[in-house]
Amino acid sequence: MTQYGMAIDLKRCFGCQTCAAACKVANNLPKSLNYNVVYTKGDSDFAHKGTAVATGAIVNDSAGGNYPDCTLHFFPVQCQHCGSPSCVVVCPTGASAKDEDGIVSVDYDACIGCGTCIKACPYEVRTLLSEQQTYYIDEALGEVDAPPHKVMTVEKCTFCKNLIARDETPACMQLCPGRARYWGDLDDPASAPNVAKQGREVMYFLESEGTNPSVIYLR
Amino acid sequence: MEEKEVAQGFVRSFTRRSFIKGAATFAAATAATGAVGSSASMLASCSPTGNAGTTNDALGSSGASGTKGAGETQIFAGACRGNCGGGCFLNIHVRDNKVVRTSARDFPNTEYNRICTKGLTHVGRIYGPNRLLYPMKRVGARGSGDFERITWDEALDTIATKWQSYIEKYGPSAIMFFLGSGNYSALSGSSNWIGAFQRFVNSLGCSYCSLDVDAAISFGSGRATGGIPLANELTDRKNAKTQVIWGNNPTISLMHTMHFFMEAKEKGTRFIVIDPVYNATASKADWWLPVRGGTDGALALAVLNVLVQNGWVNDDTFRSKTNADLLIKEDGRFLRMSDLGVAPTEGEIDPTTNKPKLVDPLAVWDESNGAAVAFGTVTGITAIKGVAEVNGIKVQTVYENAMSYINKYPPAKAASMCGLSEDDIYELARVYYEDGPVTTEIMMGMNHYRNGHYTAWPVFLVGLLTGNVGKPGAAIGQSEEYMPQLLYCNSKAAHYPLNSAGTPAPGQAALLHTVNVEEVLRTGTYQNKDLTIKSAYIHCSNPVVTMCDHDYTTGWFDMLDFVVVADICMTETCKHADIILPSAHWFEQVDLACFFSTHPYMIWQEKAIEPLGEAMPDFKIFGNILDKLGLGEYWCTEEEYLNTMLDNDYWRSVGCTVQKLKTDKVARIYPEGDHIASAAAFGTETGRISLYQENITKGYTRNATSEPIDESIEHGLYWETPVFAGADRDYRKDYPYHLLSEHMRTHTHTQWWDCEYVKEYEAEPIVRINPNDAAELGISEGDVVRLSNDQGFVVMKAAINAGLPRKMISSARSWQKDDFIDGHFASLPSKEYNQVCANQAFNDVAVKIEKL
Repeated sequence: MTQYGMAIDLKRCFGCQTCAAACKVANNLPKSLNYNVVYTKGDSDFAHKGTAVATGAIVNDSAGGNYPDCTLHFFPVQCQHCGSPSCVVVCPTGASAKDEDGIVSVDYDACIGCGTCIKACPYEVRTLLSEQQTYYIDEALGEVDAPPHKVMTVEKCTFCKNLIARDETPACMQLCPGRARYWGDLDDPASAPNVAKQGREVMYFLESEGTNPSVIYLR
Repeated sequence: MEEKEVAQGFVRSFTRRSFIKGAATFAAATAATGAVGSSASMLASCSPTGNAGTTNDALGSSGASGTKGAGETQIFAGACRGNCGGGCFLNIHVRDNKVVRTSARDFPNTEYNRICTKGLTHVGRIYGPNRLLYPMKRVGARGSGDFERITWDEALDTIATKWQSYIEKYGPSAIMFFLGSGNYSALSGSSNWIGAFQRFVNSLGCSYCSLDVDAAISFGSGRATGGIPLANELTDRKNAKTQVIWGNNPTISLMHTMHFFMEAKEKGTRFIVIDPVYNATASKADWWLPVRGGTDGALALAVLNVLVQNGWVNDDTFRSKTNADLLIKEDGRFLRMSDLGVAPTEGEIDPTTNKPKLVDPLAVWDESNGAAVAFGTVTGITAIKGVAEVNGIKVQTVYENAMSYINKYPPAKAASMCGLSEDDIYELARVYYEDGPVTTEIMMGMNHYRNGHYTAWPVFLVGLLTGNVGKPGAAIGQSEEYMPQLLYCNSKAAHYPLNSAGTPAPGQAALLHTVNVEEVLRTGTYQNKDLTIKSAYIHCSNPVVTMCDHDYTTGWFDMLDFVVVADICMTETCKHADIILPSAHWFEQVDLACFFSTHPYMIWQEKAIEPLGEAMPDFKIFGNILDKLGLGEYWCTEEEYLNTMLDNDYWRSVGCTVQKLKTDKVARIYPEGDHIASAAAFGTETGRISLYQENITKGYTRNATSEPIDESIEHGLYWETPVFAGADRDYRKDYPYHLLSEHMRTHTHTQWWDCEYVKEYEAEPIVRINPNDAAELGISEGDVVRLSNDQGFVVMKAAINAGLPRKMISSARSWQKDDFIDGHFASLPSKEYNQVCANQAFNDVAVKIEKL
């Protein structure tokens, strides 16, 4: 079996936002849509994502604590492509599915935009495109087969399955300046994420939700 | 018809959407109607060689060739090359003649692979709403932004007519070229020593204005080293036992160096960060020293104090590695053998004067013989102290001079000044003594103060005197690579062309500094000689925003008769122009990049798409202007220029040739293997580390009315607190907050201001403030605040950030006037320089804060 997944080394991530921008352009995302958000955390409680300009904060990169005893972490969050995806269970049309390669996908033709999956997902990484989308540049940019961004469908990180099909890696994985991201098949013990996690403290985001995420955070 | 529709600045007859859609057919359609047909033919006919088009084809012929069907994607090679130091090697994805995406391309050593939010969002710059697509002329007041579209013919004719009239009346020095750092490439870019702009300047014989940034570190460290480079290649960081990041925030400013540091750290290198702010870099540190802003020099002097007091730097080191045994006379100059009756001899021919150099050896005291002898002739021990008089001439050793200053900074005193503990200072000294090899990364944090060069000398001495240079893991300085380009590019031939009669280009006229411009314009004199400046040409720069003292800069812009600005997009500076020229985007032309980057490669820029609208590569703009002025013979083709520039045995030896670059798109500037800087011979007169200098270099001069220079503080070690930001300065009583100016993750200086994508990460100007200070002022997250001092003000939102110390706030200096709620960030720093060091002091700023 294959379960695509990634490991993200939080000791390496320094919040540069490169993975977020790579995702934005490669997938030709509309203004209001982000699959991948790098949050700033002024505390060490990773049960909460923190803050991001992309989700309404006025600034990134603010430390917490009491100078000089400060805390600053960064927390990139996208669809966790869960082993037990709560979104798939509740989808009334079968649009949200767990593919053979482990990717949690959305069939945009089958999706009716009911938003049930958004309520079921504990990670708040799904977005309903409730109206016609607007773009920074009114041209089809990014990959030629980027997601369609159709009105009244739900979108989220696809793990760039269009790129994977061409033997490329997801856009966010193509170049992490901090070398904090590892991509591969979690069912393969020799894959990059499995190698990277050796000897490391491993964290799964909201593990208690029982979703069995495929994004491994290394602390 | 179309001209009328663009009369109000950016309003275009094409909407953005329709323009891009129509781009492929634009040239054909307009040529048919004749609207820009004259421009198109002008491009060919104005080329001095008459074959610019074919040359470009030749240069581009090795690109991503082959005809692609509709919807297919071609990949071109290129470089992202603003002055962030990244110099990223890119894949440029082109579909249907449009750039649709950019991604990181493999360097030969993939450790150097890199890209960031900026390199990824070029589509937002190329197709952004503020892109300049045609030449324009001003029709409203300066700064109003009211412009009207004109043809290239009209633009070039206007420039030529105006400039010819100035040249006839005042000479070409009446035109002032102003260069920024907006494009680190050779042909159309801003690379110092390499850029074709210098050939343009020399061909024209015009004046040149230096913007004077980032100068204090090299000015001060050069006093210690004689200017030799001491940084090792980034791949060497794994060999360091300790890394000290001093005045450098690589997670923001040099992000592609950061993984080298973190990987070394994971393998056991201790990662020390010296910075007033707990930022993302400090968050990765094994040990963070929260030094008070602008006091790094006091810290370094105290570290030197500990090193000497503990014998960790001993007399033998001073004697053998430094100029400590030189003897200083009462007039501040070194004792030389001519002072002792030994006549100077004639040495090598000085190429600048064609006369023999006079050799007058330095004198030192030979302990064993009890006599003064020529430096370099002593086989025994020289004296570094206790020599008060030689042949009746009162002297002091350099060692005694240096120690008298170092002794003024015992750890207790420095700890108080720097906001650190005495233990911190002892520990830092111990690290340099015991935990080597130490690599010290120094960037511009300590540079941007009026005291920057006083700071750099002792900071460099800490690493130099402890032997932490010149070997694997041991280095000091910046991680940008540029020395081979500086040393081995054939700039002389490329920049001083001959015309057909064999007459060399006139060469650059006066060299001004930004601090001089207003007084030159007002008085018509410079350095006590007549100098009338009537016009400025702004290249790769947005100085109205990036120079200190916004009112001063806009003031001198508006004193000029005629301003020409070439840029990719409608910057704040463009709005102060009379003529705006639309520069082609980096990917719309062939060029050779990176002459200043944190990787050791040159990168070939392929032409990925045609220039949008009527945009034109700056290289061609230069040639066209010279042609209009009858100076076209001095220009050349792109290929000629690059071949000339790389015509050197060094470049051939490492395989950095135009042919290889065209084929491989990238070439390494060093032989294989980690490049380790040599510290075998310093660039000083003695070849050793210098603790004292007899000659004072002045980075600039003011008119005679200015205050005289206090030379007594420039010969030896000296330090003072920042002029405005120093905690002890009276100025802080009125303006209690030290304002630190930051780089941004998503702008390179002001570049990317027009890219909407990156506003998802940094949306607007923000000032960061400590939570306790904010509470005292009643400021909450997002409140609008006014920062002001006796020079100016700016209004923006505040963010609470515990990483800021009390009474220090920080904000980016990379936003333009329209981005602020009111005022301008650049109105707050003073334009004035240190008395000898021409250096914009962006961080030497204090303000008061009011919640609005």
